[in-house]
Amino acid sequence: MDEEELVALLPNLRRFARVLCRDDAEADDLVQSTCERALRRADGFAPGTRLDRWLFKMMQNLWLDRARSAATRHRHVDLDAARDLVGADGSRDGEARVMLARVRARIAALPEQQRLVLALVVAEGLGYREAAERLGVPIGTVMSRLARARRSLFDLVGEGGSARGESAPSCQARW
Amino acid sequence: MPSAVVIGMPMKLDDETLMAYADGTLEPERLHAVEEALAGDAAARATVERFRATGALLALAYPEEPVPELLERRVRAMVRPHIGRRQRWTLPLAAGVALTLGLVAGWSVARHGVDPLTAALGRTPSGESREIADGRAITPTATFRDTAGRWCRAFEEVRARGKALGAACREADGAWRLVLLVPEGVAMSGDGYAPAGEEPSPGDALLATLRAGEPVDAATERALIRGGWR
Repeated sequence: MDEEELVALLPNLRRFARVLCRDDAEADDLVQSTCERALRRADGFAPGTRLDRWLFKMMQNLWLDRARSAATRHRHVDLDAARDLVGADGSRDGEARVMLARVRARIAALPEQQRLVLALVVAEGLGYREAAERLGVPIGTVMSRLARARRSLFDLVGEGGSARGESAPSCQARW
Repeated sequence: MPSAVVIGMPMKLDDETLMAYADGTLEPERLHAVEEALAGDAAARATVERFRATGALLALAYPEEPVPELLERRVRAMVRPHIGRRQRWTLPLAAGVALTLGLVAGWSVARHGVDPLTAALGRTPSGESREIADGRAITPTATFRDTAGRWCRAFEEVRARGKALGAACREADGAWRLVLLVPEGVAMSGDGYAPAGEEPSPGDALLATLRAGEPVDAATERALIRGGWR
């Protein structure tokens, strides 16, 4: 694992972290801690295997450890985070940003196991079965967590929902 | 919502099935039956649409975007000491032979156990002295982050036979690890270093290479001490 290899994977790692974490600062911190741990345990990486998978798994474990230790602490989710993002002119761009901020706030409020499945599928790009193998749970469990997570967004994509349209088919391919 | 009318054989259209259909990941052997059931179930068809839309929405909400510069810089700074952990300090130390002598001659706080150092640096504000061993005291002089983002403190160590300038950084496990200790009066000659007296002292020069930014002010330092450096 050299410097450029690791840096090239940072956008993916950060995306994964953003699904798991409640805000960007926390996500960046998780990315940094993951890199730290990976560098310390570089001997544990089997050459010829996928570095990204190894790092994602490390991030997942680090996050689960933290989530466990934080479980006793306060559980604060800023559901109004979207408000801060409203464009002053109420422009279309502003609306879209509000919408996406709302999505992230919803995801942040989900149970940890649902968020983790989302990160595996949306950010790491694993299929249902691969995600199930990673987590050591039946595929039905993964599907039910994923379906519940996505159902929590249903009211945002209802009649006239702004997320419908051309972008759907292109996304379908990655799921 | 349970489907009311099912044409053909009964087919349970649960959320997982509809989601898999929307994602195009349904097992091929089920595809025909599901499509047949969907044909007579408008509510289920609407649910499929919504699952599809959530897929698009999530991809938009978590785009792959450029990494903040600060994060990339920190990660790069982290990689370097790991790749060349050995070279990192022996290079400057080799340049200033006297430095190595200083370390070998027993100035190393680390050799006397890291705990007194950890205790002293974790709790002592800059400008105050604290004894760390028999007749040896340290006085922190500044608090700053290094290029890897760790908290570090520069300090002066005073003992019976002289003084030294040191720096230690806080590891993830909370221990303060010595990264630099330069006896006073040591001059570095050779590559890149000017004779003592004309330029900043070798300790200051090494400190400058360690530091990623300006030292924090006294209030920030107090808050860090209170907060256990988190």
